[in-house]
Amino acid sequence: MKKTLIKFSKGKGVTLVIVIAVVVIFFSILKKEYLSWDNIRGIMYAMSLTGTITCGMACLMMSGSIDLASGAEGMMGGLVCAMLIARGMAFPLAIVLCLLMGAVFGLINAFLSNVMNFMPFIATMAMSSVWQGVGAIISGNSTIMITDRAFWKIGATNLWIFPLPFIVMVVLLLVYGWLISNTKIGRQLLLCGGNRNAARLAGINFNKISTIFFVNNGVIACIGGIILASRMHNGTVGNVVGAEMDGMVAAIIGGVSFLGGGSSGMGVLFLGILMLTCFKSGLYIINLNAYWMVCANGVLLVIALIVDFLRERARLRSLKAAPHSQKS
Amino acid sequence: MKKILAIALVLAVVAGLLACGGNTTGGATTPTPASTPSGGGDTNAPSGGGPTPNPANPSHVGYWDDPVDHFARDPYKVTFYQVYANEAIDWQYRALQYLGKEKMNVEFDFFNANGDNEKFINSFDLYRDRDGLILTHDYAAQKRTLEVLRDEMKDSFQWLNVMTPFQNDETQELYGPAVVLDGYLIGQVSTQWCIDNYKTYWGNDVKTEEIGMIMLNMSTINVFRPREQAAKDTWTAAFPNNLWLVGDTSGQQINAELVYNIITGYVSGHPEITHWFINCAMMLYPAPAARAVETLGIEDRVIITCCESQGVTTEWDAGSVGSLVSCVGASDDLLTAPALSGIVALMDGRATQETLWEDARQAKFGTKYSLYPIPVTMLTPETYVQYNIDVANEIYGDASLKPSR
Repeated sequence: MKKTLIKFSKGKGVTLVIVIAVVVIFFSILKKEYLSWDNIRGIMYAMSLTGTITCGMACLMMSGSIDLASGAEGMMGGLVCAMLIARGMAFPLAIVLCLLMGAVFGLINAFLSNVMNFMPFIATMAMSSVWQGVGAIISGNSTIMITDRAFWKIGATNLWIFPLPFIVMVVLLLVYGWLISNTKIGRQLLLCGGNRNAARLAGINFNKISTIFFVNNGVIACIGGIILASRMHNGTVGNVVGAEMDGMVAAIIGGVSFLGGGSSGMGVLFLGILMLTCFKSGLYIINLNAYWMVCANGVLLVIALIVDFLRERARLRSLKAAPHSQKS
Repeated sequence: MKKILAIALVLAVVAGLLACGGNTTGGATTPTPASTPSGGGDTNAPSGGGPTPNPANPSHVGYWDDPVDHFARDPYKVTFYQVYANEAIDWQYRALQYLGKEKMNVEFDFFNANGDNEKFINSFDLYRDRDGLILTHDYAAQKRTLEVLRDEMKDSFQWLNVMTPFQNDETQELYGPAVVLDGYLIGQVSTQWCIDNYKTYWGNDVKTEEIGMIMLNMSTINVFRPREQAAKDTWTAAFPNNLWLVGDTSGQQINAELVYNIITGYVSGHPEITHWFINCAMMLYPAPAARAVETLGIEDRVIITCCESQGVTTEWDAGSVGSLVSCVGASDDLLTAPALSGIVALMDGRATQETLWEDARQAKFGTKYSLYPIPVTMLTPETYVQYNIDVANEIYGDASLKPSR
C-alpha cells in the first residue's frame, strides 16, 4: 500500500487529481448545483458507460492495438440482447449469448489485425461500419423495446448510494488493475505494447496476447451496451456508437500511451475517466452552446494527445540517459 | 494460405451483401378512395387543422379522393428517390408500392444515395426516362439539386418533394410543392398542448413561475429549426419570464446517453424549477429523456411531448408511459398518400408545380407553391391506437391492409 501511494504521488495521478479539483471548483463557481447530488449521480451514470468501454480499450492500447469498433460492438450487444429478450428469452441467457457474440467480434478483429496484418486502426474502423449496418438490418433500424422489468433493474439498482452500472465499472477497473500488475499475462501485455520485438525475443507470442485482449475488449464493449440497454429499456442502432472515442480520450488522459506499453495504473485510469466525465458534465450544466461544446471536446482530445506525446518523449529520454548514469 | 483467407473473406462479404438485398414486401387487396385523412386524437389543439380542400377545387386534383380513373391509362413509372434510407423511408416505399399498384396505377422503384449528395444529384440522369420522382434531398445540396431539376431535367420527369421541401431557410418561402409536416405548426401545437393540459397532470396548485421548458433539438438540421422557434414563441407568449433551455445535440453522435446527460445536467442545474415541459424535435429524444426523468425521480413533475410520434408510440406500445404523455400524430400515411396523388396529378398534366394544391396555399410559404395541408393532431396514450386505425382506414379502406413495419 505504501509503495502504491509513493508511486501514485510521483506519477500522473497527482496531476490528474489537481486537474479534477480545478475542473470541479471552476464549474462549481459558475454553477453551485454542479455539486448537487443529482449531478453527481448523473456523473456516475455517465462514467459507467465511458469507463466500461475504457477498460477494454485501455488494455488493447497497452498491447499496441486499438479497436475503433468498440462502440458499434457495444451497440450490437445492447441491440441483440433487446431482440432476444423481446422474443421471450430469459435475460440471463440473452446476456451470456451477447457476451459470446462480443468474443466473436474480438476474434474477427484479432484475425484481421494479426493474421491478415491489417492496421488495427483501419480494420476496426471498417468493422465498425459493418456492425452498424448489420444492426440496422437486423432491427429494421427501429427501436426494440424491453419490457422485462427484472432486466431494467441492472441499470436502475443502487448499492447504497452508488448506481450498479458505476459499481460494475469500478469492479472491472480493480480486476484489470490487479491483472496487469500482478499476473504474467499483464506483464506480457505491457511488454508486447512497449517493444514487440523484445517481447518476441523473450518468447512471448504477441498474436496470442493481442487476440486475448481483442476478445476481452469485445466482451467488455457488449457489457457496456447491455447495461445501457437496461438503463434505456430498449436497444437501438446508434446507442454506444461513438463511445470508443471517449474511451480512447479517457485512456490517454488516464495515463495509457497511445503507442502502447505504457500505463500509469488503473487508479489513474479511473481518474482519467472521472476527469473527462466531470468536464463534459460541467459543460452541460452551464448550458454551453452546442457548437462550443464540440470545440471544447476536441480541444480536450488535443491536450490529451500533447500530454501523451510529452510524457512519451520524457520516458524515452530517461531510457537513453540510464546507460550513461550506470557507467558513471 | 493468407491469400485464400482473404479471397474467402471478400466472397463472404459479397455474399452477405447479396443476401441482405432489399426487404420490400407486396400489398394485398385494393383500398377504396378516401378524402384528406384526419384520424382521431386531439384535434382541438389551436391551429391544429390546416386548410381542407375547398370548393374552389371541386375536382380535388392532387388530393386522395381525386375521382379520375387512373386505370384508363398506362401505368406511370415513378422512383422514390432518397438521399438516405432508414426504417421509416423503407416503410414509406412499401406503402407507395402497394398504394401505387392498387389505387393509382403507378409502378414504383427505389433509389438511395446513401447520404452522398454528389451521387444524389448525378444520378438524376439515370432516371431521365421515368415519369416522376418523389424525392427527399439534403438541405446542404438544395441549391444545386434545384438547379439540376429545373435546368437539366426540365424536359424529363415530374418531381415532388416529400419530408424535406425546397425552401428558403429564413423566409420559409417554398421553391416547389412539397408534402411535409409544417415544422412551425407542429412545434407550436405540441407546446401549446402542454400549456393547455399541464394542470391535468400536476393539479391546480403549481406555481407557474417554477415551470421551465427544455427543447431538445438538432439545430444543424433545417427541418427542425422551425419546430424549436415555434416552441420558443409559444412558450414565451404564455410564460414570458420563465426558464427556456435548448438541448442541442448538434455536432455529437446522437445516442441515448447524450440526451440522458443533457436532461440530467439541465435539471440538476436548476433546482429552482420544480416542474418541466420537455419538447423533443425528433423521435430519438423522448425515450432517453424519459429515462433521465425516471432516474431523477421527478416523473410526476415532468411532461414530455414530441414533434414526431414514432419514438413515443413505441414506448406506449410497450406499456411505458410515465412522463411521456403526448406527441404529434405524424402517421407516415399522411405523407405517402398525398405524395402519390400529387405526383399523379403532375404526371397527368392536370396540375403544374404552381397550381398543385393551390386552393390550400398558405401565404407564409410564399405565393408560388403549396405545402400539402397535413392535419396536425396531438396524440395521447388513450387516443393513438384509434388515430392510427382511423388514418389507415381512410387511406386503405381497411386498416388491416396497411403494410406492416
